[in-house]
Amino acid sequence: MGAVADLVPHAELAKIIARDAALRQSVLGWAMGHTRHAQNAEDLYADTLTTALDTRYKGWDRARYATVEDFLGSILNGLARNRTRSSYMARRADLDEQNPPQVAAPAADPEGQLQMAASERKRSEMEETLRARLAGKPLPLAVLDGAAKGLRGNIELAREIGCTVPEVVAAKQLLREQGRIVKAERPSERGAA
Amino acid sequence: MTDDDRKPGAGWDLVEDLIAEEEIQRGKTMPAEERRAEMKARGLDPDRADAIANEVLAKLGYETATAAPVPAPKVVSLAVEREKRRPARPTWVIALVAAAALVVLVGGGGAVVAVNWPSPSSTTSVPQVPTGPPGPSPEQLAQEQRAKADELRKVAAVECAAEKWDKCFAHLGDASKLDPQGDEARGVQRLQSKASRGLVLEQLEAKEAPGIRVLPPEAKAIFVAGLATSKGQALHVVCAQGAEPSHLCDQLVAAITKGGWVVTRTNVAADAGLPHGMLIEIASDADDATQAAADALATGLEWSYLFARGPNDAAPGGGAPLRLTVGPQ
Repeated sequence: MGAVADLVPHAELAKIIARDAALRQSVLGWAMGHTRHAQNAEDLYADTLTTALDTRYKGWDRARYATVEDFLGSILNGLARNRTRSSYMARRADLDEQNPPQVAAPAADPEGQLQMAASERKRSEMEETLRARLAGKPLPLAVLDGAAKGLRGNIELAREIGCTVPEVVAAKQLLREQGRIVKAERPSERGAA
Repeated sequence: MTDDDRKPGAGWDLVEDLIAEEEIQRGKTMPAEERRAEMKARGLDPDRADAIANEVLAKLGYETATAAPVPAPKVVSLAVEREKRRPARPTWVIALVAAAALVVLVGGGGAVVAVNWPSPSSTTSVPQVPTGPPGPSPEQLAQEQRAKADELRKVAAVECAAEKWDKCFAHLGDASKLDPQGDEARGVQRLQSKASRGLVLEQLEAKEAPGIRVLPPEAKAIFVAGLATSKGQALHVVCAQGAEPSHLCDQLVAAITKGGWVVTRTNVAADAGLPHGMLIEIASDADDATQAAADALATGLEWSYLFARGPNDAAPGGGAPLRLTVGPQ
């Protein structure tokens, strides 16, 4: 059972973004960490803002994303993951976007499947490494389990696990610290922003 | 929850989001010029962040970003500027304070003239529409939030001292939301760690009868390595008599010595007023290196599944600057 949504009106989020130059630059910087290519980072940044502000989407739910940085960072990460998964997006620079040719869906494209499988395997391995590091620490592991089931907000995670919200916050802090170590220990992740 | 409910790797998404949140917050709290320089060094044009945002905002029918404030004229009255900014605590001052590992957070900003202007946005392709909202400016709001956060942290310190861990942690979390930058201060980080350990310890004590405490063999190497950054640190270990605490003491003293620390040990009767469990105490006038060593010791014990309370402040100058008491269970 999810926590009651605490939706921030899109117009309010637009004002926050419009007022905060440091936020805008930091989000673009984080996009660069994903793409390592300035033009792609700008595209990803633009898509992140569009997704966050477009009223066709649900928008910022503070029950799930306590801060605007958390919300925008999550959207950006999700878009970056989707791009990696999509062979269409990987090739789109070569395509006429006004008149896109027929491109095999990732599931039917061997190269796309390979890329996607590698990405999924990498994330899966990182999670398993993290879980191994957290052996004997039930709360952070339970938070990971909850997140894998789609739970995210501190309150809904605390309800699911049967602990207090501060304990979830503490567990997330531990996940963040140990996650950084796991990322840093992977050779392919070194040098990432 | 069963393993079947989990999609492999899906939990990692949360971890990446947590890291992203922290990185974006870190970027936000950097001085504007430093942030711009860092972006340029990575091949990014900082002004594009404004231009693209304005394009998106305009396209979706929102008001565009406000024009960057005009930089202050080069010739100004220092006295006027100082007075104008006296209540404000510029972001980079806090960073310097944190870097210098000072614990005191309040005050101190009066003599500094801030030069932390947001970056100018000269390349925007969308007309800039000023959207000055009524009411307090963002800087005033931020200042009010910092003041509230300071208050919350003071309350949290009192609650942590009374071992009301959940309240302490909750108030620290509230303060963090209001003033994420304040979390960089060493005193705040220590309080957070203390509350976190207290919560976990409380939970462990509530849920299960304590087993025999040992330093697990697989954790010993990590524990020793974690202490290496504080080689030469003096530590006095006070051990309760009895098989269980005495054996744990033997293990800890051996491991800590192997980590390059200089350990002295005293054995005392278990009923000699010793606290239960383990307690790390540090003289309140201890230097930075000793404080860092105390943190390393607490973290190392935590990662060895041995939770110690503290580091708590002990009387200044009395006995060893850093002490670990291994009391009865």
